Amino acid sequence: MSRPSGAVVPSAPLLVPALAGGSAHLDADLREAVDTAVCQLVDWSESIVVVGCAARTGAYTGTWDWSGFGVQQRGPDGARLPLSLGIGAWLLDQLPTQLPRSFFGVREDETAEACRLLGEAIGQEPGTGLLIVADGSARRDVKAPGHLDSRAEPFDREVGDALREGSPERLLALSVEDARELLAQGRAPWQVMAGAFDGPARASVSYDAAPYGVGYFVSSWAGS
Amino acid sequence: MTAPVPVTRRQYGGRMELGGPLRLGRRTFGPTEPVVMAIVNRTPDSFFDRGRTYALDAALDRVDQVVDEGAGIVDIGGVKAAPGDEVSADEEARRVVELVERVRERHPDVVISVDTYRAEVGELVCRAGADLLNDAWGGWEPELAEVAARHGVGLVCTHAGHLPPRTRPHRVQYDDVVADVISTVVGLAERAVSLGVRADAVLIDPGHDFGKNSRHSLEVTRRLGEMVDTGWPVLVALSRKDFVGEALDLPTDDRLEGTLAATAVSAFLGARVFRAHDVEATRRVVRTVSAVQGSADLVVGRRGLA
Repeated sequence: MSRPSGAVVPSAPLLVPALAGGSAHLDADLREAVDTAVCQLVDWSESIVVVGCAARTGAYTGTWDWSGFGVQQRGPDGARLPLSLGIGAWLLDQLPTQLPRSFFGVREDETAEACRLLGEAIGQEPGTGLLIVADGSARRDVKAPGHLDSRAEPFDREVGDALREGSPERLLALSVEDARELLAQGRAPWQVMAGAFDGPARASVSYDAAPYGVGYFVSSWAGS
Repeated sequence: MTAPVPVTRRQYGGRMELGGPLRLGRRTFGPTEPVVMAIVNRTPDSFFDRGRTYALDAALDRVDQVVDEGAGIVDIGGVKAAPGDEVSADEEARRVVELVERVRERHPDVVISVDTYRAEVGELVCRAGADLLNDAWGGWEPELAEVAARHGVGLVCTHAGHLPPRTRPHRVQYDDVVADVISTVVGLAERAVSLGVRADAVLIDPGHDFGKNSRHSLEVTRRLGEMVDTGWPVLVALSRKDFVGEALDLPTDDRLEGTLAATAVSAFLGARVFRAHDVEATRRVVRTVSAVQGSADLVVGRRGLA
């Protein structure tokens, strides 16, 4: 077991039942897909690196902390992680796993090549599982956080297809400029995952929709 | 009205755990679980609905509807509160007993309350399946509490301004209306418990408009926290009453917003049961207040979280 594995999940706070309140059950299909993907990643891996967008590129330590959202709940010990990494930490805390874990933030504007190199370095460690906490465009419909942009759907369709195909090349070809304009924060983290794979992955996508105007993807990648 | 000694939480707080659960019929209502008590009148002449649910079928339809709207308690009444045509105990029983039986069959879980001051009627409705006696005239017949004890049902202890049933206040004065309310209702509650009524089935009600002018009712509302501090669960009956009407100079049909405003204030100050004509609106108001206070979570949490 030395090839890397990957799981892609959304960075949406509403995945957390304590934040979703009474509507938690309404997104059961999404949450189930996420749980399955994370469980599978943990099964396949010897250590987990959580990767998501952050204010700076580099390693982070800390824990999840929802107090910023108005719910006084936090993980055990440590500073508040950026949202994407906190979601990853929280997802891992829901599982009975003792796997070593680390957190790696990547700036939204890192170039595709920089992301690829970061991923390549992370993937060097045998048995690494990359938990990619990342979203598609936040401009998928008129009620979306960034309102509707007609380019959002084709952009996300390309992301979904690239994930489904297990193609690092297609992920690395996503436009930095388009992703920025379409508020697709996942671009850089996906490209980090792509960098960890030196060829096509055995891949599946179990969720690909934008129920609240933000593109959510759940996908599993295994080195072939 | 004498000037009672001010009541403090320390004096009465020991009677029951402050904010304990309320157990009525098959239901248990937690301290932060507000309950709407729906008014169901089998009267031809009540001030707001004016006979709309006087017929048995109409009353049953009303019960079905309010249960559907989220009422935890239905409060069945056979005699209007205000002065009017004399209603004998036999006639009152004819109006309410069969309705209690029918509601019990259709809705095993809803708490059935009966609004009566007569022990004789209380006895019959308890046999028919009632869970709570709403003694809105403040212990006028002391035996009513004994009936509640004997049947293991709850009791609402109300401040009716020391007036006989179905009379209106006339030039009534209080040195301190809240102190009078508290000493009266706490006295009734303690007496009820001493007679064997379960302490977790006793409620206190300041009796808005009963033996009070509108300023009295508004002051009681404003200072409701003092009643809450006694530790007894507080019921408020505000719906479309004159104190709302006089705050606004509006007739009963136009008192919904005022009622809901007073409801929100009462909920915020800790009232737990809300007797109401407008069940769904009342439920929405108290739910919103609970959410503001943080005692109820969001029903949907998505805004800004996608």
